[in-house]
Amino acid sequence: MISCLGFRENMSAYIDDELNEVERLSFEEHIRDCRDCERELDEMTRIIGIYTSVPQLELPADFHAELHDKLLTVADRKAKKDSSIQKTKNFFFSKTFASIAAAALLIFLGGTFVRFGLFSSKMAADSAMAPAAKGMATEEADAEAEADSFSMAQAASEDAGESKADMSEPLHMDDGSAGDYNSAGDDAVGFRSIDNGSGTVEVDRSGTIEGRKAALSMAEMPKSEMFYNRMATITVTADELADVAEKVRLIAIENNGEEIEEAQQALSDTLKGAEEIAIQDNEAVSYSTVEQIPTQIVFVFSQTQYERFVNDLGDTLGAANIHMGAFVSEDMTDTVNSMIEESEQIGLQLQELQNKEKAGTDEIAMLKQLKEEIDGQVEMVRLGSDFVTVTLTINPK
Amino acid sequence: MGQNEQYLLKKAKAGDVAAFEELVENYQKKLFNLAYRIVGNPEDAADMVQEALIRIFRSIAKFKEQSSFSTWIYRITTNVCLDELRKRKNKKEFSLDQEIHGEDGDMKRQIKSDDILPDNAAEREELREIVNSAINSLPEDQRVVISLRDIQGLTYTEISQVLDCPEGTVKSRINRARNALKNVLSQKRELFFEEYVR
Repeated sequence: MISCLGFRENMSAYIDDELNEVERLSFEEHIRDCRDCERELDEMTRIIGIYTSVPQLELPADFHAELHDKLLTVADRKAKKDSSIQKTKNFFFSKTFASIAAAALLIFLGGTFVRFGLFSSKMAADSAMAPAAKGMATEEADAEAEADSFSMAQAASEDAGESKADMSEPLHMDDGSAGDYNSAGDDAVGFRSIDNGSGTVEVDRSGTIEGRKAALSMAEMPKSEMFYNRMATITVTADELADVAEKVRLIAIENNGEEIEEAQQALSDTLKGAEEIAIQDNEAVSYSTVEQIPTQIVFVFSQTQYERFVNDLGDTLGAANIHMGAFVSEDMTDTVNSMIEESEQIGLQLQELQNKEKAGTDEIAMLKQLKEEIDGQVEMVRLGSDFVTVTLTINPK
Repeated sequence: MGQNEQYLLKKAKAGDVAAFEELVENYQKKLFNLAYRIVGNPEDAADMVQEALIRIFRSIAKFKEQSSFSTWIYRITTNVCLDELRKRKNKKEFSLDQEIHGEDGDMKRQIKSDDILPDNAAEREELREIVNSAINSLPEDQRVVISLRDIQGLTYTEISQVLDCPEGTVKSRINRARNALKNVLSQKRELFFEEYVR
């Protein structure tokens, strides 16, 4: 026997015809017998009638014209941006992956991480560029996050088959090693050359530290730009490997995660780098050893989607099999500031050039493009303030 | 989604502004009234809808059509409005009094005169003010569901997709919102009892 209270909870759903057949019949039967509930139903129906009788507002007179202007501006900007966006995206994604993989690899190499101060700083500096990748992932930020899943996963993981037993260790990045990673980031302040090896942007930042400091004190201080990075390992049996990798991808896609592309390319670059360093330091690590990296997948999520992703992952694969490493956060404020300063300097250079009578048009065009690209990157970093990269390593038992 | 809408969507995805405008033309007034119910005043509501439509336009190429277009745009608009409320909470720039005051003044200008029957215009006006303040007194999550259900006419399933929450939550929220409205409006019964009683 359901109480009146129970029926009253269903009252709106009854009015809206949202009850199933059984609930509806039971509700109607109760109403026939219970005068109180019947009166309540009448009253609620009447109230709905009252507040829905208020006419809707008309759009303001200038609404359409205003919207039209804004849309044209966006369409114009979009068209300009589209041409450079893809390479910038690839650039940042490959950087993100390279730096994460490098950090993991260096730890894996055992103790080499600290010794190669320059190398690790460089990597950390590069990884400090990563929020831009998030900027990309969440470009058109909110709308996109709300959009249907913009799935884009392209298999790009490095499936190297069997791995050695001790390989899981370096990837369990808990507070200790994460701290190293982070402090390497701190060391990297002042060492921010943007170079990508593929010719997208080539900026020599040496000697601009003074300028950067000046810009910092003069410019309005932007809000701090943080990005987060998390390493996780999943332990499975060797023959489940491919299956689990597939499941992880599906769960990520369901949660709007973007798999970072070009992982393969970036990884092999990293491997070469690691090999060179190993040789430099007479480290007995051969290329063939580092090749046996377990299956690794890197995703980019917005923070809420990231939380859902982790929950779903635990539900599907069993929480016991997943080891979540510590969050590594990096403050991007410095990087953003130095990029803004860079852009301003180019702006000044441009002005000078344009004031000259015989200015080289090629040079102006080049500088303009450079400035646009840097501005674009700043925008991307700023757009994605709730972005998390997750590096998942699937370890065979 | 009709064939014409499909066609417009395709063109809008390619960046065609005119096609986009045509595509969203029939939704604009609905979205405006949804936003008005959430943010509480017409100026902000208009800004929110413009902001939402810009975002929709910017990301339309990535709309994968796994949900319906209308659900998707309601979702974006709702979230833009809720973001605005959150920002306001942080800034505390609006007092409740200001909000209601500003709204009343503008409301009078915005309503089409032919919506109001001449012989009971004053009563209609009074009713509208009572309803507005009653709806404004609801918590924001209830204002949202009540607008989506009773003003926009969405089903519980559609609302759960817009808000990304379970249908059970939608159901109980709507019921709670209506009970709250009933409690407020029933006290004002004497104001319009004769006109509106069934």
